[in-house]
Amino acid sequence: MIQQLTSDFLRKYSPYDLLTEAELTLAAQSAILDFYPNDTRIYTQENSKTEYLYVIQKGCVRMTVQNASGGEVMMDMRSEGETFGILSLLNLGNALMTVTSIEDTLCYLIPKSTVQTLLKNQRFSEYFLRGSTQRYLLRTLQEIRQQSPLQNNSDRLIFTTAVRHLVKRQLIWCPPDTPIRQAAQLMAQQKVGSIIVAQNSAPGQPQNAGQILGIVTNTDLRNKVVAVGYDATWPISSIMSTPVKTIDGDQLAFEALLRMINSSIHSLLVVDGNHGNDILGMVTQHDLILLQSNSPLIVSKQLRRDANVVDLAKTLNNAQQFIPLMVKEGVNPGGVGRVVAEINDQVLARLLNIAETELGPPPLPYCWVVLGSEGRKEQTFKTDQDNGLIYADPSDEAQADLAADYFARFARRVIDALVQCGFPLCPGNYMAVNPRWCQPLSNWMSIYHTWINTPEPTDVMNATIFFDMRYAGGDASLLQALLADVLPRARRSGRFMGHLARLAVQNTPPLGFFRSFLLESNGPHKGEFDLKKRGVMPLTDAIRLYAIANGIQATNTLERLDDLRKADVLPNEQIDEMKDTLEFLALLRLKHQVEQSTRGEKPNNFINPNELSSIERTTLREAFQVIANTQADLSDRYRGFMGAAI
Amino acid sequence: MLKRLFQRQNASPDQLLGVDQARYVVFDTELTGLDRKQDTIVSIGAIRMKGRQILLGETFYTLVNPQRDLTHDNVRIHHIVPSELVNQPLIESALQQFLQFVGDDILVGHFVHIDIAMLENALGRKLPNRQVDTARYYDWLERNRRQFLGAPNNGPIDTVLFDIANKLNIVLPGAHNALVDAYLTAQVWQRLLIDLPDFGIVRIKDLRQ
Repeated sequence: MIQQLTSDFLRKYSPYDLLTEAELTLAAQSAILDFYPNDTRIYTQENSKTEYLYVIQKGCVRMTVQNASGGEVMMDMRSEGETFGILSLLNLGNALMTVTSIEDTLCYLIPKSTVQTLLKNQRFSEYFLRGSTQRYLLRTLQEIRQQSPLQNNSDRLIFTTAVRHLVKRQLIWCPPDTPIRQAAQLMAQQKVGSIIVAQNSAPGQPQNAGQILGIVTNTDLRNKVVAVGYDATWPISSIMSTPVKTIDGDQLAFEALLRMINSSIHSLLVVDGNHGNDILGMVTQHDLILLQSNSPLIVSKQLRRDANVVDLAKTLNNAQQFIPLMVKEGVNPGGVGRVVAEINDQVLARLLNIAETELGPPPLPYCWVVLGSEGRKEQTFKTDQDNGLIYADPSDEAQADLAADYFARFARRVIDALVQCGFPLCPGNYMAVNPRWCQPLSNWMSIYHTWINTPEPTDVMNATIFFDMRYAGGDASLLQALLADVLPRARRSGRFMGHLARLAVQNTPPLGFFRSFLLESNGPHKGEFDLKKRGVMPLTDAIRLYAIANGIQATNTLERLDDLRKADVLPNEQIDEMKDTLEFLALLRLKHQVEQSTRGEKPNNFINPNELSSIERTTLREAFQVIANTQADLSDRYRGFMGAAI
Repeated sequence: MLKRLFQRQNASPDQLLGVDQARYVVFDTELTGLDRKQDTIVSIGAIRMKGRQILLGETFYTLVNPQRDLTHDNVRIHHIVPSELVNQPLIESALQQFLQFVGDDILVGHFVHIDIAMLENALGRKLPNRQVDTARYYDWLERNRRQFLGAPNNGPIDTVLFDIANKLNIVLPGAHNALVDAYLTAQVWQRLLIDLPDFGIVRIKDLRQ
C-alpha cells in the first residue's frame, strides 16, 4: 500500500517513468521518506558523504557550489518531482555541491545500492549521464573552479575511459607462505596499499587470474595483525581476503567505480576477458580519482617527450583511441573537440619544431593557422587537414624569394608529417603547401579584401572556412594583424554580411507543420535527415555571422557565444538557447557516429528520428525551433542586404 | 512489579541514544469498537522509522479474523466487510507476527494507549516496549509554543490525526486503513522529532511513557 503510494509518485516524473514495474517496486521498497525543515543543510560540498539519490516529494532546495574565493554560487533550484544527488553519488559519495532546503521539504531517499541497480536500465542512466547533469558538470567546472577546459572535461573521462587504459601499476605480489611481516615490508617498499597473494608455480609474476589466491590490504594488516594480534611470522594467506574482485579491461572506469562502491573495496584486479582472463594489472580508487583530474595531461606530457614524428604519431594514436570513447557516454562534445584541439595543437607545435630543426631557422617570422572545423575546435574524429601559413612581409625581392622557397619546403615537411600522424590531405587543397595559402601578411589581407568587397559564390564558401581561422603555432601577432585589418572591413560591408546571412538561412531545420520531422522522401537516406546540414551548420553559420558583425575574434562556436554574451548584443535567453541547442546537436551527432563506427560503418550525419528516444525527439524539436527562430532573426536583421543575391 | 520493571528496562534500546537515532515502529489498529472487554482488533498496520527517516519498504499490515459479526457502523468506517475477514489469521498469530516485526523498537501511535490496551488485552500481558503518543506530544509541543514562543492561541488544541496532518501540510492519501493511518502518524512523528529537542527531549530516556 505504502509502496504503491511511493511508486505512483515516482512514476509521474522523469526519469522514473522510464523504469520497469519491477524496478519501480524495488525503488519504492528501499526508499526512505525524510523531512527537512526550511533552511536545513541536506549535504555540504566536499564535507558530506552522500548515500542516497534524493527525489523531492514536496518543497524546494537550493544547490550551491563554493567558488575559488570561498563564496557560494547558486547553481540551481529543484522542486517537486525533481532529483538531486546523482553526481555526488557517482563521485564516490563525495558531495559536489551544497544542498539546502528553502522550504519545508520532503524527500524520497533512494539508497546507493538501489540506484546502482536502476542505473543498469540504460534509458534511466542515459537520462542522468546525458541530460541536465552534463550541463551542470560543465558549469561547475568552467565557471566555478576556473580551470582550463582541458582539465574540466577530463572529469567526464570516468564515463568513457576503459579500465585497461588506467592500469599502470605493476602487480605487487607474493606467494601464500610469505610471512606477514615480509609482505608488509614489501608493501612499504613499493609504497602500495595492497598486495596480491598468488600461487608460486610459474616463474616470474602471475599471468592469469586463475593463479590469484587473494589480496591483503593495509586495512587487513591493521585490523587483523595489529588489532587482533595475529603473529607477524604467520603466512600471509592467513589474513588474505578471497576471492579477489576482478573487472574486465574493456569495462568503463565508471563501472569499476560502481563495483568498488558496491563491495566497499578500494582496488580491483583488471583482467583481459578476451584472452582467458590474463592479468592486466590493478586499478585503485585512487587511480579513478586521478582520472578525474589528470588524464589528458598525461598524454600531453608524453607528447612533449616524444623526439620524432614516429613517436608522436604513436602517442597521438593512443590518445585518439580513447577520445572517440569519451563521446560514447555523456561527454560534452564541445569538450571533446577542445581536448582534441589541444592535443592536436601540441602535436603540431612539436612538428613545427622538428621542421625548423631540420631546415634551419626561418628567414622571417611566420604563423601557422588552422581553418574550418579545426579552427573552430570542433573536430573529434581525425579529419582532413585545413591549414595555412602567414609570414611577415619581406623587405625586398631577394628576401621574398628566399622566404617563398623556405616556407614552401617547410610547409611540405609539416604537412607530410601530419599525414604520417594520420591527418589526411585536404581534397580541396586548403593547405599550406598550396602557394595560395602560404603567403606574406599583406597578400593574405588582399585576398580577404577581395572576398569582402566583391564576393563570388566560392568566396562566401571560402569565407566560412577562413573566418574560422585560428592560431596554431609560430608568431601569433601575424594572425592578430590580419584579423585587426579584415574583421572591421567585413562587418562594415553590408553586401558581404548579406551573403553570409543568405548562407546561414538557406538550409532550414527539418521541422514541419505541427512540429513533425521532415525527412528525406527518397534516395539512400529515405526516412532520415541530415543533422549536420540542417542543424549544426545553419546554427554555426548564424553564430559566425553574429560574431563577425560584433568584431569578435574567437573561432570556437561556444566561445563566440560567450563573447557575444559579454558584448551584450543579444538577449541572454537567445544565447542560452543557442548554446544548449549546439551542445545537444553535437552530442546527438557524435553518439550517432560512434554507434556507426562501432558497427563498422562509415560515420555520416543522417539520423532516423525513430531511432531516438522520446526525450531525444522532444529535445530535438525544441532545438530545431531555436534554429528556425535564429534564422528568422537573421532574415530580419539583414533583409536589406540579402536581396543582393549572388 | 519488579519483574515488569526489569523486563521493561531490558527490552528498551540504549536510553542515551538520541531521539533522532532511535528506531520506532509507528502503528495503528482498527477495532470493532472502543469497549476493551467486548471489542477486538480487525487490522494492524505499522511502518518503521529510524530517527526522522521513514523506511517505506519496512511495513506491516494484516487483517484479523475477529470471530464475531461486525456492526454496521464499523463496516462504514473501515470499509472492511465481514467476508474479507473470514480467511484472515486469528488474533493470536497476527499478534505474533506483529511483535516479531516490532522487536525492541519504540512503539509510536496516535492516542497509542487505546491500541496498546487492545493489544495487551488480546496478548494477556504487558508490552515491554517504550511507547510514544503522537497526540499527546503534539498537544504538549503546541502548549509550549503558545506559552513560551508566543504562538497564537486559537482556542483548544485539535489533536485529531487528520486535522494535524492537514495543518502540517502532510499529503493525505485517499484510502484509509490501519497502514495508511500509521504512515500518516509516522509523518506527524517525523515533524515532531524536529522540534522535540528544542523543548528538552533529546534522548530516548527523555521520552515520557
